[in-house]
Amino acid sequence: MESTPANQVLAIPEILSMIVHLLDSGSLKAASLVCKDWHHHTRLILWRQLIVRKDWCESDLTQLWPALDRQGSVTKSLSLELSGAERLNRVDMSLIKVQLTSLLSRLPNLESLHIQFPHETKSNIILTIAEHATKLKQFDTDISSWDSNDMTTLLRSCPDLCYISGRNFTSKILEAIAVTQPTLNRIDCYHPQFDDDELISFAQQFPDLLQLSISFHSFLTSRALASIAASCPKIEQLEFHFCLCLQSAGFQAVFRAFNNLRVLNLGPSEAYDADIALLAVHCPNLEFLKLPFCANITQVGIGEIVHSCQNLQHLDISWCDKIQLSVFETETPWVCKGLRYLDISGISLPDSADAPTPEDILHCMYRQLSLLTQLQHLVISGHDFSLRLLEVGGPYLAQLKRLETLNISKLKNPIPWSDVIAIGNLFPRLTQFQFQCSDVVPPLSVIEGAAVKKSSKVHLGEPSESLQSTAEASTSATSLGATASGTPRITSRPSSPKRKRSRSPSPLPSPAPPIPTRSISPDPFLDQIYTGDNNGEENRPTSEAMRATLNSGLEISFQVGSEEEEAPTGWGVFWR
Amino acid sequence: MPVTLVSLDNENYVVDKEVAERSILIKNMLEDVGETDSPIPLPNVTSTVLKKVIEYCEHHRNDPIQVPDETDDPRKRSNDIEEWDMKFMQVDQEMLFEIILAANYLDIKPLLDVGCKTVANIIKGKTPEEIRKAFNIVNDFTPEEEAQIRKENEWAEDR
Repeated sequence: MESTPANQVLAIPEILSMIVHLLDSGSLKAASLVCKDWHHHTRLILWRQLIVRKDWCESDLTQLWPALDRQGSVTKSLSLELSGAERLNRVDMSLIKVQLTSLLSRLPNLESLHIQFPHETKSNIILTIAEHATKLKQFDTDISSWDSNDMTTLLRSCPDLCYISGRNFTSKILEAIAVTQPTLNRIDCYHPQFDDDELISFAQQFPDLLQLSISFHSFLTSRALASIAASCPKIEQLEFHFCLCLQSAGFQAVFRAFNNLRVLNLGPSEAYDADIALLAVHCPNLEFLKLPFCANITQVGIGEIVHSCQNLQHLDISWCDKIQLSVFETETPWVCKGLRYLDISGISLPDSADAPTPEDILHCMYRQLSLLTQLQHLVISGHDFSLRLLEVGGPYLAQLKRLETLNISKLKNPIPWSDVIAIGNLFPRLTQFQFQCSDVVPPLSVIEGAAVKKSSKVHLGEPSESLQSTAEASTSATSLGATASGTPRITSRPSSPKRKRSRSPSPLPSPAPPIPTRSISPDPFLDQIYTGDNNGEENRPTSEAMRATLNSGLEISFQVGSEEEEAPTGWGVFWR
Repeated sequence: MPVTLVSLDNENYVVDKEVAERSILIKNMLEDVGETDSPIPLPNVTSTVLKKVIEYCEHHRNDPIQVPDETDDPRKRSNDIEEWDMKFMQVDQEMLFEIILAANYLDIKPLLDVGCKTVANIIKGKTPEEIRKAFNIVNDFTPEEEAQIRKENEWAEDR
């Protein structure tokens, strides 16, 4: 029995470690139970990151303690999360302290902490963190009321801290950071309270700053940017999200200065094509570019980017009203061949008189897309023209063999269910496929079935109207094979069935409105099709659920027969 | 200039230097001895396995030298096996592990990677018992230990 080649290979620690690093979470857990040796390797991965996703303040976590007593020394990263509703709860601060102490004292090697608190929490809770988590390198919290003494205490206890993210930072907080932590190199300020001069003076003290992220600053101006451009030449990650006083002069100053820029998020902003063109010239190493809702940018600026930034991996130009499909028109292929994420939601047709006919231009678009063979995520929702995904796009899209997620919600014209399935089947690795019920024309037999159930209610003349459904049937990707993405899911109660939440990158940050709870039942099952709020309407027809399993193993479904209006999507509501 | 490789069972294989140097072990040996006609003994590799490894190195003779990509999460890439490599790895399990052992000994990192990915794909979707059976592994847990880990795992990272 001893010394088969398998035994020999698996006895080499480096090789076993390589193999288990390639496993998804389900297989990793199975692997951890194989034998002691395998457990030794898998625990390093399984416990590297701990997420308590459900009401960490008040949940009974006592069952977690023995597990952490054994495994907590491995944990480097902890995320304590609250839902929107939980954040509004009044919670006894002493209880939070006890809970935090119990957690942190069991995680002696913690380096990264993301923590959400109930709304009224004061920054003195930081003292509890400072006492236990002294090896922190990254700290991210949503405390909204800060005392600069607490910041000083935190920084004194955590000398390795180099990234901090928080809300409502004042100039006093910036001063505290500058005085106690000169080695800090990444900062993310949400809704800050400092002005141009205070930020300028801060930046002057951090010449090695790598990341500056500022969101919801209503009076930050280009003057500050120009000064930062001079003080912090090493910046590689820059984010100005909803800083609407910033103008071209500021953008151009930073783009000229930050030649190492890798990550840029300017959505929404007042940037223009000329600014973006400068970005393309001066920041050739750009990897990640988010420009959603940039209403002044057109296909001209984006054309410069896709023809000069070879390392671009992530491009989000969604809902930029002036970007037209002609961005795909050129004969020369995009140079960003390694693009993995592309969001072109809301892109529009050219309106000039000499524009090619839509069919030609659709071919151009799909041809360019077909060359992006590394693409893993594609969002092409919400257009004012027909995408003709299958008839025109099909042969091209089939080249995207690595595509894992596809979002086609809000099509101009709904397409037959059989086409939806055919589109999904173009991609052998698809693990998530989003569309809305209103995008789908169900098979005739189902329409008739629904019509019978609704008896007199249905108008056969306009099936798409009467069949419009509420459930944003973003096909919750019920996994069948090992292929499924395994949505991150750590609940505070082990193995409670829980609705899957999408963690796809969103251009709009954390303060999204709380997700409306549609289901009253405490434990909705994963694959449950939501029937929408029961708004008192009587004798509602039973909804029909259509299901199909794609070649990739992904199960998709949508619901026929609900009569409610389309549910508002998170996007529009928040932005408008 | 061709290089002669000698397997454990004394078979000689004449390959281009460029092909042989896909193996960092051989590359270093050649650099150490300089120009030489003498055959290189590979006492850890049988001829069936060596033939297979040479086939791999021939196919990949012009590949750029692999640079480790730190930004890539290795766990996301487990399915990323090129079509040719996938076919190449369609061998019985004993041969698969022989290839991995040889790749490890000869220090051919890309081949080792493909081997590990193939093993990972075999593990995927299997129960602990099925994994033990597949690889001839003895369960050295007591039932209590196993139950404890199972319980702990409910809390562990799910990604």
